Amino acid sequence: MTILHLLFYLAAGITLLGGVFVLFSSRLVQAAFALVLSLSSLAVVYLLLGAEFLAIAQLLVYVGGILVLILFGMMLTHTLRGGELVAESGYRWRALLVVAALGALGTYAIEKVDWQKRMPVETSGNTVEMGSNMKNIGVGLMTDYVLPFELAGILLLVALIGAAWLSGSFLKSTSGK
Amino acid sequence: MIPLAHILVLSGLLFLVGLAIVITRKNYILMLMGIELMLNAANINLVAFSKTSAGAMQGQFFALFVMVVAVAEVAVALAILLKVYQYYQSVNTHDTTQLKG
Repeated sequence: MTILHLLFYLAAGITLLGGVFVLFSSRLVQAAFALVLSLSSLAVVYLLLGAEFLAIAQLLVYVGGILVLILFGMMLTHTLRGGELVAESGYRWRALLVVAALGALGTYAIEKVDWQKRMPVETSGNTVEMGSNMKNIGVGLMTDYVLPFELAGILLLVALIGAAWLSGSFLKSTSGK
Repeated sequence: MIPLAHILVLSGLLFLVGLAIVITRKNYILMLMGIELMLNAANINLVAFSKTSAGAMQGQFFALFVMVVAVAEVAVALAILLKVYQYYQSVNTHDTTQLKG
């Protein structure tokens, strides 16, 4: 049990706790910030798994981008009257049933397969050698993965222009009222 | 190193939490958050398996593209939600019942 193990289990626990808080919190803004906590500790998990680039991308994309988008979405889709933004929940038993069934299936699958034998995990795994991973990702994106990379760029462009067009007409029509 | 099974358990639990959020919450924005958690749970798996075979980075690349698609999805979904709000003055599932869903 090294410090890295400890850090991994701590980050995993914070990730799950943040998710559970989103599940049970009735206040929207608190749920959004719990999601921030959850996703940023997930970046720590990525870092410990040796994916530095993904960890940084996670922070930039999720914490910097998506959470701001979600908070703006909350702001624009609720009439603020000085009170708290409260959200209800329902279908508790159905959710419990589905989650329990899927959880049992997943547990069975994880138990059944001998992962260590089937997939030898690299034992080196030191995250100290920064840079090598980044270089591999950069070279990979420009050589083997150049087509999906460009397609992702086009997808983002199309989606963002579409989103801007949709919400742009929203802002115009509400200010015109 | 961390056993692969523990990472898989983390990802599975995170996926279940996201699924429970999508089923139980009645606010569309909170449901979006649940979808984000589910996408992230899948990403953990991809990263974990990209560690298993030496030198292979396919998992990390795939996780990167999943992230891009997640951004596009959230942006479009929030734009649609603005339209829904404009029409119904609400973003709750029990108010948007015109399709009898």
